[in-house]
Amino acid sequence: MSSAVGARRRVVVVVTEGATPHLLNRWCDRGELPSFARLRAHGAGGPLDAEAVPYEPPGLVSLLTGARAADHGFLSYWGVHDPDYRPQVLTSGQRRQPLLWQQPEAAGLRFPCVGLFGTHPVEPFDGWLISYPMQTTLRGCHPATLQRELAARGIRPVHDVSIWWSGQARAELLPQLLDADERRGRAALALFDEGADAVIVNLTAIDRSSHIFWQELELGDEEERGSAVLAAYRTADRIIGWFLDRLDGDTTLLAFSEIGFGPLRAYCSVNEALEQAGLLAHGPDGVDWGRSQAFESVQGTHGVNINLVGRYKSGTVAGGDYTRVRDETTAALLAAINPRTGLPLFDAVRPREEVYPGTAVEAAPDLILEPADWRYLPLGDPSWAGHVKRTWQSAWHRPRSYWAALGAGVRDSVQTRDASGPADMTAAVFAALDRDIPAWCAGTPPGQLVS
Amino acid sequence: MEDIKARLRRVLVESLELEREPETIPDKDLVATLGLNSLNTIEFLIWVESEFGVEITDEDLSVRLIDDLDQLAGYVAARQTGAVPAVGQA
Repeated sequence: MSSAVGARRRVVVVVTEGATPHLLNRWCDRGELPSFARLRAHGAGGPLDAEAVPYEPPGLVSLLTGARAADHGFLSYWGVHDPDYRPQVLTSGQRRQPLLWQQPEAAGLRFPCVGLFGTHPVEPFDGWLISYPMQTTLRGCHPATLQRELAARGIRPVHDVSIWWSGQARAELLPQLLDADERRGRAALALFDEGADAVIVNLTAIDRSSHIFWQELELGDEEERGSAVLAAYRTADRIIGWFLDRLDGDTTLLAFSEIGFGPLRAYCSVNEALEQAGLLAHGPDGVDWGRSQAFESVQGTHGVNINLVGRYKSGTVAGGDYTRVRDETTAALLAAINPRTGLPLFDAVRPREEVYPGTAVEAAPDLILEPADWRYLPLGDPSWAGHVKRTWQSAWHRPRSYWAALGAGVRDSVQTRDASGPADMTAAVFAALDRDIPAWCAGTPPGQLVS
Repeated sequence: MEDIKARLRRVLVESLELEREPETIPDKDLVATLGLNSLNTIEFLIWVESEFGVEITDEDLSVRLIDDLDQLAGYVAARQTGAVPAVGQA
């Protein structure tokens, strides 16, 4: 597809959160996902790897800011180091970088953004935003009238966390998850039709259904065809199809996921391993912070925090002892055995400056764990893990996912073997808009995307 | 207060696309009667804000607020006069 000289370029970014390459390939080959298949057959694409631990916030905030996780520091939905040991939800006010539509290089471009973590509370701008609040709120849109304006057109987007998994029946939950994606897709489509330059929409049903219903994929082909996970992929496929139908010589569609997915057998309490090593102690009310030197960080970080004096209200490790305690913790965790397999729990235990060598390194846990077997993963801070019913899940993220593009500025039918990263998708947005890649953007557009 | 309640009934019907006449909506037990949930409640309250030109703070969101039309009407009335109602005392 060629672009007319001087024509206004537009881009649609569809984040199919949790879509994993092997399922995409399998179901494209079976004819289950015609839009993804069209992207694969006629567009460009390739693998995409999470920067370190595959979790939604680091990948999405990289897309939104063009910064590496090592520099933006949003490694979870919650902050890693809370003085009271109670991780707090990260807010847009804590971001270290502006959102890409707040940058001077995006001047004159109208962005709608639907459902991406890192955007709440909303910050006014000349565009449309449906934010990603982590609690019930009426303040999740910009402009404030957006929800009612969309409702007047029969579109009623809902926030991801409005659909809370509390053990309800599949027949009740799954339709809600699929419907929520459809509503977000319709909102994005309406704003695209309104004349937006760059649409970004996050579809979360693949991720949500993969966490909860992955076990259905383990029961053979017949069960797989009726599985919740495939239903979520089909919903995303249908929404991508709406945008494919809108493609013209000046518009690019970019689809990707910041995370892949794979099976989970159990979450393993790192605090238990630390307690066995004498690095953590429990009292009658839970962890006895005054007798603990290290503890598991918040979920999704795969991290361990050292209970440093001055950083925590009951810190026990003086600054001068930090390196020694961290080394002792590393050795203890490398020796930890997974009782479910009889094998080591972790392949590696890395210092944060090695995993996140950037300006936000202090926002990272002190140690990052590399699971030996990705079916057995760190539980995370027990209070939040319990709140979200984490141990009910049957699958979790994997580092490898995908990207795919079709339309203006995309070389046809080219697949790359080199993995891109989330910040490369930011660069791809600017390339698709035929704009120079800003100096602040840590990514580069995949080679197949040429402006 | 009756005027506010009548408008709230109309907003309920319009925002939730209910297939019933506004005057058939009872004063109490709205959650169970109308099937209010985390999804449509937000929709309804956003319309309430727009209809009455008031702001409902996130801290005031509760099942209690939306389950009882007298409660909600009192809250709206207090908001319109600039008062800061405590949910349950409106």
